[in-house]
Amino acid sequence: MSIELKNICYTYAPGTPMEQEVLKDISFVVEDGQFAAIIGHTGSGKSTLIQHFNGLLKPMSGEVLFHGENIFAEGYDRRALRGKVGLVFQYPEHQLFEVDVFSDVCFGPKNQKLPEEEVKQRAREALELVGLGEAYYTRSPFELSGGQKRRAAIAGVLAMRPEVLILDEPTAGLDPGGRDEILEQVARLHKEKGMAVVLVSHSMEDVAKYAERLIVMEEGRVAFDGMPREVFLHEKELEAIGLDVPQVTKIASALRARGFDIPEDLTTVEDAKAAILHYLQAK
Amino acid sequence: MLKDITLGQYYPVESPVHRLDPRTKLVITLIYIISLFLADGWPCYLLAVIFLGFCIRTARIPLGYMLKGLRMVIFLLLFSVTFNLFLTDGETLVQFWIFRITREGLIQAGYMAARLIFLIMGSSLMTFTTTPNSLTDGLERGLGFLRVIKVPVHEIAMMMSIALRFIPILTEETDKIQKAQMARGADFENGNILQRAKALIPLLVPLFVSAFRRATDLAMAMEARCYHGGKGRTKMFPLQYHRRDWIAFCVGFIYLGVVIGLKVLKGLM
Repeated sequence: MSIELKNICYTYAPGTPMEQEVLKDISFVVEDGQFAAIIGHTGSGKSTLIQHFNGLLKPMSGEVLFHGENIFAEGYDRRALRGKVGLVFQYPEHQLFEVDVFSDVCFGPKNQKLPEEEVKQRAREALELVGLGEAYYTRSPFELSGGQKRRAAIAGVLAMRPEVLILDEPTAGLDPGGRDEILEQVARLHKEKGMAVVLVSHSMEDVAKYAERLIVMEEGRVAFDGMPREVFLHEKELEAIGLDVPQVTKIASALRARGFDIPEDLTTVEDAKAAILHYLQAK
Repeated sequence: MLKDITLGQYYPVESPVHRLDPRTKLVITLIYIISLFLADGWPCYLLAVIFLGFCIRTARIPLGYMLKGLRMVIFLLLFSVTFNLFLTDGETLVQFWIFRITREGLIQAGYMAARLIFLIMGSSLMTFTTTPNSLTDGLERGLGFLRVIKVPVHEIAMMMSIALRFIPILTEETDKIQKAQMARGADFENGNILQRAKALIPLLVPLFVSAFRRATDLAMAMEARCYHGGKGRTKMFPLQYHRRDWIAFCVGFIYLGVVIGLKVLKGLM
């Protein structure tokens, strides 16, 4: 298994008037090559949680294991870990700083102390993966459009060839075309390279479409952990937490209430379409 | 992490001192500092510590929090105390090798230490009980007379409060950028001075870009709400003295009077 969290507790600003328990006894496992998603209301601890995966934050108690090793053990090389567990923050374009796009994407592999040819090769691959061609290599990152900047920033993390890719709301602030492009790209990486993905998202539809496994956070705890179609059965509880279920699940619910005999666990448009057509043909 | 730098160390709690007008607190802090330099003899210092203790209790600040500020100046404290201890002439108490501690030296060192400690605690109390924006309001009102000699008091106060407002925002941004670059393998901790300086580029460039972006956005937002400078501008919550402020002024001036009195008495004896 890739990443394992055991009873993680994290308190923000301990001992001050602003003290707040952000993570309360969290335990779960991200398996090799799995596409997992984390959803939760703002303030539920999602962003704090993912910073534990690559050792940027140290829990007050509990363990974080990568391939079975405790990443906070004496002498563990956490810098090397960050090359294997890539974390893309929200609005990653804010981290761009180099003179040109190519140099910025090289930053990650350079920090991994790789030989120069290897660094350039990885940068080229990463830029191709996100769809930024050679024309962009020499341009200043600050000249690019919002969506292009975001793709350049993501390339910066992909260039390190991580085993696990964590994305904190990668589609925030993008137009629908941009959103689909990025998510499709991530899904392709997952399928073709066997990269484990952890997607933090606010979109139930995205999560239903791409994730194999869904973790619901609520006030620092794991409320639900399972396959999306299982988790989305709990419509009422999710709404009580301030979350939701995919639109199509609600439509299916409404149809069932009017007598359509279709399954309960429909979470994507494709599944719903198939189920409704099947029902209509059987009538 | 970086967010833990509490701005001006304001301690958020309800207390009569917190509710005082910032101008009142500025004046009383000034009175207290003056009193410490006028203090002569142990009765004055005793009164100073009683007054300070009274203020701290009224402000409902925990003593531990107050003493935290002293940690920074412990070096300065030891330095000045040592000087006074060993270099004052007078009746020798202890002598070893070339070092000599005199009775007068001991007393002087004691007073010096007390003065420094009270000074720091007194001024800290000011920042603990007054938000930075409150302070700028107080200064803006208090220094308003400078407008006569064409000093742009309002604009300076506005710049100060905007700068203060953005400190936590930029601190948070620095934290985010630092973490994002660390997630790409950046190392801010190891290496010699030169390496550490170079490592700051991926942190400072995005930070500056972000700061300029925010400044531009803020300027536009302010203009969109018809901001045009200080001319004819009024306040939503203008500073007003209340009864508690007059009481505080009285207490402050009485305290100063007693200290001066004690000093005069000592001079006469």
